[in-house]
Amino acid sequence: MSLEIPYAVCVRSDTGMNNARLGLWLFLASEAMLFGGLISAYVFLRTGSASGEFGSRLSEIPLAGFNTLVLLASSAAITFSVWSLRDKSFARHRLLLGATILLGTLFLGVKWLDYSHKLSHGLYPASSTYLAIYFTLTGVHALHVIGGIAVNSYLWITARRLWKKEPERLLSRLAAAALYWNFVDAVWLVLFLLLYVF
Amino acid sequence: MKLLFISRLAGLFALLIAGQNMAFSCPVCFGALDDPATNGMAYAIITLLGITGGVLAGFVSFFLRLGRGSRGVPNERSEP
Repeated sequence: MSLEIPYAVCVRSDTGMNNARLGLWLFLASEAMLFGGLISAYVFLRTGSASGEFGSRLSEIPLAGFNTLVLLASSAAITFSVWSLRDKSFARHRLLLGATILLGTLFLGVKWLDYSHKLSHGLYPASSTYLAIYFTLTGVHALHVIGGIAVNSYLWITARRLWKKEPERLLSRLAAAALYWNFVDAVWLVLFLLLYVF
Repeated sequence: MKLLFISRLAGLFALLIAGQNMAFSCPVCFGALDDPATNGMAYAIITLLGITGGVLAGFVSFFLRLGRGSRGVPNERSEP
């Protein structure tokens, strides 16, 4: 006996979306509050700091900018992946979702390089207020990227079986994953502007 | 009995006052308007209010959309 969750795939006429998408929007609202609190703490520490260690970091912009481009490319890839599935092009969808996973992993790799460079120079989270909030903000974001990669990888592995059995369910899942991934990308853009540019 | 209680209370207050070190309030608690910490707190509150306001506005717009959308949906639970 299996439990059928209503409106998991088909669209509700009152909300205009299925329950999976609605649930994800609620989750993203809570995520926005999480990052909002952390960004608020950053603003407090930066405005209240008299040491001058906060502010634009021109020397770090090339690496962080490259990472921004990588994440933007991965967002484009997952969006095209959803569109490919809507067009019934499963092979293209699989290729683009694979590219999304690889680009996300590349982002983490570059972040790892950045962290190891800082740590090897004795720059730990406990070294200064700036480094504490820097590691917290980018670390929490990196955890979200890891979560997104895990979900995208699960979809990539199980897609073929689901595509044959329930293509609409696969499309619903992928659309929800793409929404989350685009949110993570948007958060990084805010962090990039706050931590490196302004 | 009452006198004993009052004298003990007075003794406790005397101990608290005599044993107290010098205490300073932070600029935020003291209300120093020009202090960077006060400015930081103000900007942080504005940022958090902005983000919370954005999320709440999203909820309000969703419920308005829900209200508009539900007008056209027949009530399945209505009695025949």
